[in-house]
Amino acid sequence: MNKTTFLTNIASRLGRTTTQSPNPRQIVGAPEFWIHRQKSEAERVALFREQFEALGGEFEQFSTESALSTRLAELLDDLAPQQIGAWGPHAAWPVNVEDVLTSYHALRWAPGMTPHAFANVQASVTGCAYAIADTGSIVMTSGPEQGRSVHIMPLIHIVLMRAHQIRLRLGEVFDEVKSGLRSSDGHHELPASVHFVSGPSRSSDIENDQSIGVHGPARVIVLLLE
Amino acid sequence: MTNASEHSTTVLKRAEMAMQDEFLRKAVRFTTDRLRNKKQTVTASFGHWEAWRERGEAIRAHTIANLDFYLGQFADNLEKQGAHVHFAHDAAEAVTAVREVVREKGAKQIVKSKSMVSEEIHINQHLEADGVRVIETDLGEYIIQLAHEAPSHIIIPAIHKNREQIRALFEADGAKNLSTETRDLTAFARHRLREAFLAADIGITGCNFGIAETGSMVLFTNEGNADMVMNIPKTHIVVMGMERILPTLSDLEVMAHLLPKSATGQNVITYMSMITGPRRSLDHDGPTDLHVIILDNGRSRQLGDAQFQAVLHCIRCGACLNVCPVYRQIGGHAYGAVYPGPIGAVLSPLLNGGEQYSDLPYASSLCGACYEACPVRIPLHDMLVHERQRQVQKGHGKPLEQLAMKGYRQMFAKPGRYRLAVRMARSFQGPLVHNGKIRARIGPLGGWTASRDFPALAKRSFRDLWPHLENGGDADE
Repeated sequence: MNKTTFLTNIASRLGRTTTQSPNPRQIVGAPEFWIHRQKSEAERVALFREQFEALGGEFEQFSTESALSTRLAELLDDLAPQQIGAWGPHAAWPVNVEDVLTSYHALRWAPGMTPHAFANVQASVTGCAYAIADTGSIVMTSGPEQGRSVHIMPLIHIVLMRAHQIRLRLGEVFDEVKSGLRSSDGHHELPASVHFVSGPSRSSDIENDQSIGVHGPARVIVLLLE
Repeated sequence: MTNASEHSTTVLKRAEMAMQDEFLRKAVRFTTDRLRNKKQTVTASFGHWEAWRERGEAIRAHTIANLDFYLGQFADNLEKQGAHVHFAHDAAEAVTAVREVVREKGAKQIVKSKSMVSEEIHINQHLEADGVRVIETDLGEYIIQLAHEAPSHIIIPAIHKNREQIRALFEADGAKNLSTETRDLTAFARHRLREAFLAADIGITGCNFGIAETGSMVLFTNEGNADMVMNIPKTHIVVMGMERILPTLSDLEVMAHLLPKSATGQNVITYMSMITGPRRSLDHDGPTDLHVIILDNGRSRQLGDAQFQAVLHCIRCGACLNVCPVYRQIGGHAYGAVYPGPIGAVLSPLLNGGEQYSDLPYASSLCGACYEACPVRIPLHDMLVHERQRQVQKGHGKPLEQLAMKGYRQMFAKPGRYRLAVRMARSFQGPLVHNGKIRARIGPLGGWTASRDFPALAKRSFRDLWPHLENGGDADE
């Protein structure tokens, strides 16, 4: 069925014509009381941590880049994965850990990479675009050096972030993603994938018994730089 | 994928069978209790729940009342991003659209993530008939696909399978030395399905919300399988009901709170995956081809119908199933339709028309728990009454029931007739009454007295008592 016939049928049943604008509306998005809440950066970090840990995420906080790098190396030693993966070197890294990634021979996302190339990666290291305090969510956006496969395929996902990336609520992230990325011809040029990740993969499909890591990562570890 | 045999029976027959399955009854009760209690806890701590519900209702009502505009905007934006948009009037057209893509790509293997609308068009059966392998990758769906069964709950499809049965199914699918531990079973599924993702030519998903202002599509999942389905194969096909639209991303913020809290009592869904068009020219993963099939299949018939338009506000959370006293007893299969529970009892006859599901609106106690649970305040209990009304108007009532209703109307029309009827009933009930209750299974009363007592008429009616009460007397005197 063609689009015009399809939409004309809907419009006529609604007593409208397809050229008509929608009726004006009073209610858009979240309630005022929700939008008008304010929290300091420290409060947002604390709330993010609380929510993220409640979901089974792991969180560690550092005051210097070198302390974070040291811990990352330590973590990778402990986990001892056969293969480490990571975003490309020119991705939007919030913290510079190139030295660590190089010394652990991380497979880097680059032209020619495919999901199949990352199929045997056990632990990945990435940054993130934002985090959301209300829900303990990490926001991953796709790009040439930020393949989606890097964080959806492995069993362990290590996320680096800075405190200033944490927003209070989901709607703020939508606003920023929308306003920051407008192409020249005026239509929205969102990243092809915006992925909101809230803790490890979970399922209760077997007798209501919760299991972790059924498809996505079983561990999500945030290393935050103040 | 509903078993053909289920269509030929009535909901009453199927319910009777379900009631004899002890494991099913226990599992359904346990699951629905768990989901309902978790929902109560999470909404209480979230606060202002009624305000959020009103918000949700207002957004959905506005979207549906202006659906031609928002759906048009959504499709335009999708096309601008390079997606192919197909409009399907019915299930057959949707199946044809999917088949054409499959043929064009020469696809042999397809991975799917859970989608009720793909159950609605029976896409798996059609593709398998073409010799294409279709693999369900949601853990619950994978289990019931191995068992050749249909989902019994919108959110937890394999609610009716126990771990022994699951192990047996996995062993038939190649597992060796598997225990019945959840961890072991899950690990096998992860390994097995990972192979399937990597070998698949096409991924098929549904879509929880399509965002008109951006042309984005949003999926809510907990396991992460949808992300594999959407991003690993070269081609991604989305099949969505035409009503799954929201005007803006701001509106999605409201639904992102309402949906997981109502569905499973989770504060937030584990994965909210938003895709906008196929992969960008400089990206190295994500699908190169994106096809979106927008399905009507009886939905547009509800538009402009004051009694039923709001059924299209539904966001498919399943909260109405968990609180329904009927669903809680009989489970999902007894409904014999793709959508079970109160929403299914309303939706199935509406989408399909005709006689097929005309007994489902009667599988309800009309208690209104579904309405109270609904995050977008759909008056499902009113709709069930309206559907019964329409069936009676079409002359589908039982002859005896029609006769009884006619007599009832006659009797209640005049006070004199009413008084006479009550007096006669009181004289004739004598032999049937024991301790103030009627227990005999007689005539049309049988349906009631088969499982509970019917109260006998009082010795003195309220009308007889009234003059005495008006003067300050006591009813017990």
